[in-house]
Amino acid sequence: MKLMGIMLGPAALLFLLFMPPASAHTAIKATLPRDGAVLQESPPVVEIEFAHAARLTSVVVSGEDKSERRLEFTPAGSAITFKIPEPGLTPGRNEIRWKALADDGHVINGSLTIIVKPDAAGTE
Amino acid sequence: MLDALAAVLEAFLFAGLLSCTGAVFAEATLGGSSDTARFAAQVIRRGALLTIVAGLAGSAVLVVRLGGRFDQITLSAVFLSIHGAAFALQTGGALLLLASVAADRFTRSLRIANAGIAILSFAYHGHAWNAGTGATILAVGHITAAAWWIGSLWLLERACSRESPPELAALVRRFGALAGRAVGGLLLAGLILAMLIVSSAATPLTSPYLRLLVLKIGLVAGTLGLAAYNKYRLTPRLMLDDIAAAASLRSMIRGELVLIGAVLAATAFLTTVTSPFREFDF
Repeated sequence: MKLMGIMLGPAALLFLLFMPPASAHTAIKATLPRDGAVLQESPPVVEIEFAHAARLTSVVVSGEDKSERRLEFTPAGSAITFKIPEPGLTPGRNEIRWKALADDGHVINGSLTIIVKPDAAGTE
Repeated sequence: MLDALAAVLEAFLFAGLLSCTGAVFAEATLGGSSDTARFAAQVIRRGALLTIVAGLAGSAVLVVRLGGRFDQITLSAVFLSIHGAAFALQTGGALLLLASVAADRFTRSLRIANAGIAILSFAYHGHAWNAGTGATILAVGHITAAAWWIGSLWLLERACSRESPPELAALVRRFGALAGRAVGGLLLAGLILAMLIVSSAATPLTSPYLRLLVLKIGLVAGTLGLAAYNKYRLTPRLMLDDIAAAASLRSMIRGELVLIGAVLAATAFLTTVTSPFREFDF
């Protein structure tokens, strides 16, 4: 069974060297607010709508100070649309990054940016 | 990097699963001496262990790729999805294979059923799932034939160095009688499956998925070239009791296994880090 290593070793190395870069899937159909929106205050809810059913597993927001905060979302199972209530976005640029498992077993991920005007008050 | 690790683990999972199930199918169809049977049991055991380890490691890496939280949401995404169904079948099948290594007739029949359970995991694997029931059935048939081919190559590779020339010639003859139909079915199912997936997903011609698929087809063509050389050049020499032919056949079978390893790696990358669907483009 030494051959098992010989069988896969060179092939795995070759594919690691030449594999396509895996990042920035664009499997979402729409978001509310839309990516790049400029708002007066933090929205009461953020919605992510996928092109196909998926299971959202992680949503993280990072603000101007680069500190990261996990956000809660619903529903917990497979769905097309997910809601993130009360995201509590802070003034400035907020990047919301999400990860999900598509129903075909693919890991998908992406992000959207929402800018809250710096002079906005009451962002919670 | 995590995506690459997931693909490498998937390739090892394929190698383990196809080796252990393939050794069961090959042993049942080719027969052979007691040494061949012992070696088949060894391939089944090691392949099953590799399947279990690679499956567990792949699931852990999937959790990390989904955000790294071992909470209810992530664990149910991993285990209550098609990944979970495939994991249960491949791990369950591999465990049953580990428990059914005895040489009696009943256990040998049981082993075939257990290998079938593990092979059924491919119904929940890759992109065939998205292309409908017909594609799923084709995928399972395609994998079964591939497993038989790989299992047979393991047994033949061993026989080249351990069996007497008449025993080896008999084994090669039995393999040759089945290989044409099995490999033909494998290729036909694979081509139809690829067409079904690509057409149902309207895959762009320049996508990484199609480029990798073309590479996989090229590797398969190379493997078939070696197989044809074995069948039309080396096998006739073996039938004439040419001692050197056994050593040449062993080297060529090793070459075939390395190329098949590359095919499995290509398939793992196809199903893990690329997708035929436009909206998943990288």
